[in-house]
Amino acid sequence: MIAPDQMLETEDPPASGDLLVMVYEELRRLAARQMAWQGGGQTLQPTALVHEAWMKLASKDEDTWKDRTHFFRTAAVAMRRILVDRAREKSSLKRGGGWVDLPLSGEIAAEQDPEAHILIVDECLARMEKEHPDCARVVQLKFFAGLSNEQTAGLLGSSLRTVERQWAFARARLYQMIRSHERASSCGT
Amino acid sequence: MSLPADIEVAVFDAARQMEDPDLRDAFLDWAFRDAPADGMRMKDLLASENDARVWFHEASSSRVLLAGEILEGDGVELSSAGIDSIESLGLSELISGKFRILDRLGAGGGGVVFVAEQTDPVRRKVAIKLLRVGMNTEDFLAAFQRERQALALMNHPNIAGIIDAGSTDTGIPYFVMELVEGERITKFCDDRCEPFHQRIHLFLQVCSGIQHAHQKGLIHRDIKPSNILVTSADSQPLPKVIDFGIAAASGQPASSPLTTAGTPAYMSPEQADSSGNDVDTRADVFSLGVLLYELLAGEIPWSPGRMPASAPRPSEFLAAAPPEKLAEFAMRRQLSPAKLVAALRGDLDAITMMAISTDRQQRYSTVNSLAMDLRRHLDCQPVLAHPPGARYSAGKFFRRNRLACLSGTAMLLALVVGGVLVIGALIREHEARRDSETARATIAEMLRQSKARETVAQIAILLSQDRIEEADALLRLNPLTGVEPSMDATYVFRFLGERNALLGRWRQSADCFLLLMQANRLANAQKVAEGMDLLFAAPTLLEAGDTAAYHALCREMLDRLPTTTDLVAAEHVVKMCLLDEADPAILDALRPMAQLMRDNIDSKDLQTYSNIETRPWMAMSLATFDYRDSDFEKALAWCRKCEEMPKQVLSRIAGVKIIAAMALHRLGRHDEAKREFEEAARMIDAATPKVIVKKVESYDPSYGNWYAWAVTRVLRREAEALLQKP
Repeated sequence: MIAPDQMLETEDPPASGDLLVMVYEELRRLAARQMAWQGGGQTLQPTALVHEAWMKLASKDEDTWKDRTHFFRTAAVAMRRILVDRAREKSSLKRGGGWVDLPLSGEIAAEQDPEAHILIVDECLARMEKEHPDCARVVQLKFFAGLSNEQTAGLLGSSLRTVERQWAFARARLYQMIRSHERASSCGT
Repeated sequence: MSLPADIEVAVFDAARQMEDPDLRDAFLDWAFRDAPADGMRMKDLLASENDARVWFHEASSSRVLLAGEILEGDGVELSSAGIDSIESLGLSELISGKFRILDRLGAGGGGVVFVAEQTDPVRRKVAIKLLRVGMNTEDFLAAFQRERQALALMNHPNIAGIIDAGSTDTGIPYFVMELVEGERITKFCDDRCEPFHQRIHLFLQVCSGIQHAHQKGLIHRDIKPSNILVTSADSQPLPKVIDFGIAAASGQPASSPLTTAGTPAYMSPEQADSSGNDVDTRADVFSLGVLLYELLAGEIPWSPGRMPASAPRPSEFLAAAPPEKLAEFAMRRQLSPAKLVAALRGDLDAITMMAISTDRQQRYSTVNSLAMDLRRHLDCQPVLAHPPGARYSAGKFFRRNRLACLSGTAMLLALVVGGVLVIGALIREHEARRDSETARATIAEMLRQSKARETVAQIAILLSQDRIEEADALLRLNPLTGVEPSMDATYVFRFLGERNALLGRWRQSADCFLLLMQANRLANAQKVAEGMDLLFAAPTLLEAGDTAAYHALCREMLDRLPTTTDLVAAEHVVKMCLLDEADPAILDALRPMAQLMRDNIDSKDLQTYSNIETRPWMAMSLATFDYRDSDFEKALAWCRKCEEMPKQVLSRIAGVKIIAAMALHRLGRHDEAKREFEEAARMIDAATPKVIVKKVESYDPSYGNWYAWAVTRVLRREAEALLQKP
């Protein structure tokens, strides 16, 4: 399990663990309400969800949320965390309950394995945070929080073109890492 | 020394925009000249870009799936009735007013559709669509209002009309739409064994509906056969686009909660991309392209959402299909299997592939331009989507200009490779970080580029809305000195250049074509030579009196296309590079192309129907070459041969007479020269801009287009001066 604070290390500005928990809880509540309303099997739109969480939390406690940017970055971490937790849970259940570090190797190639997708992106993203912190931030907001390029650009204070460039690069670079990871795993390392 | 992270990203971005692999490699070798291992890694990165896109598309579906599971796992009771239950939706209020719900028609991506009967003001059946959107926030309602207004503005025979819209008491937004009872377009065509031209005519109607919506600021986002129904109420088949319910107002793509995924098989890569929010009207162009593929070739040869980077062209797909399948598809189009494949090869292949290009910069920038190209094909006019020709070597061009790349200023680099400018500047900035003068210039240059990009986009939008005068005015108010290579830019400058040329505004037209050729710089030179752009630009520059720019254009063309095996490209390049006196180096560069034409002009291939129009143009091209090469007897012989060929075009007759006049004069046959010249001059004087516009509009192929006449006027001026001399 990755601790919230660890994940936040890469985020700027840093948010406290409490704030993250608060956002996390709010997102879960909203998601649950939305699903009940919509009926099962529907698409969860992270963007809309995060927007609504923002509106609710911002009106509740103006001091806590210095600005929108701060909130959205925290929410992106929370979304990532929710998804990674769930993926780990599922993957460990499949392995008979025991905790396994990373469900990599052969499963990645198996296309219909949602938790493998999430976990491998999460893991490789952690590596990318060191190499290309700017690109990693874009992935966090776009992939995990489901923000558009425009929203991402607005939050990061960069141009749309920059975000497009960083996203294209990040996607290819992550994929490259994932492939080499696969290769290493299938060789038995 | 490896590159810093931000510059690595910039190099990646610049390289991925280079279509030509040689140019790309040359660029990367240069950028990573101090770190070849990083260069290799970058090449690998670029090669995996498309796979990465597909992989991330799947990964984001996984994210959605997992999120759904999380919610179920939270013990939320999920009603099986859900949105489908009429009561739970508070529909009774809606019903008691003007509509009576009759039946549930189905559930789609955007919501649930019911058939209802409208009682007031008229009794008719309608479709009511309830949107599956979960929130009742102000953001959402504002977006819905915008969309509703846009939908209400739509009024087009090929779009199912929106009758009413609103939200139920429980806050669920709904649309009331015209109920279309018809067959999906693909089934309609197959059941009736519709031939190609009929299918294309139906498709063009669909395009006109979608274009109408785009003009109102709406993107459909889910164009597919089941959303295009053909009714045949009054014997005339009428396709109607239904389900604009999930369309988002294109002005507010990012924040519209109405945004929902489309259907994978027809979805553009950028739509399939993880967030799916950065979608513009070109996403619809892509979906229309897939639909066109299916209408023409019978099926889509890749699994949903997994279009390969090198998708087969329609004709290639059919040629490789099992014989029984091919026979079935051919029968459904009233063609023999061989004819079906042949009919697709060329224009239709090229048009379809351009529409479904994975990179939206390479696509038609508007539905209108796709439709225009299809119409050109139906009218047997040359299409803008050129069939991809043989690969060429741009390495030479890059190598020759390496010095400029390495040591020049930002402006010089811009002149060399347009789009690579920004990255080049970044790298230099990195190398000379303390040089604040350079840094300032770099920043100014980057700002200029971004402003130019913006202007181009604005002009493209105005053009897509047929606001041509405004577009032209915008360009005149914001004169551009440079432009990055992009499809949008080529479209904009080609369009405005032609228009200004037709109006006789040569200087403005020349400015447009100079930018057009600049925007073409990263495109395949072979394609540029085969297409119309060179034919437009070269005579226009001379009409504007800009000889220097004309010679620069010719040199660049020959640098980029040092050799070709394509007859059309050879014919264009030889003629266009010899509109003015040429030095021996140029003649030597063109000699192999002239020889290629000489070897082939009487070949059997060129006697066939589809090629018959090329022959006389080649004869004129050869006459020009031999004249410039001072072989006046041969030039005269080509002129005579050209005149005897079938498929005459008046502008060419005049042009050939001018060349003949000059050749005769050089041979000392002054009286004959004078006669030829005067005859040609009369034809040219009669071809006023007004007459040419009229002929262009009536598609009269025997008169000659504006650029062909421009060529004759340029040659005439030269002949006039020459004939004065003894």
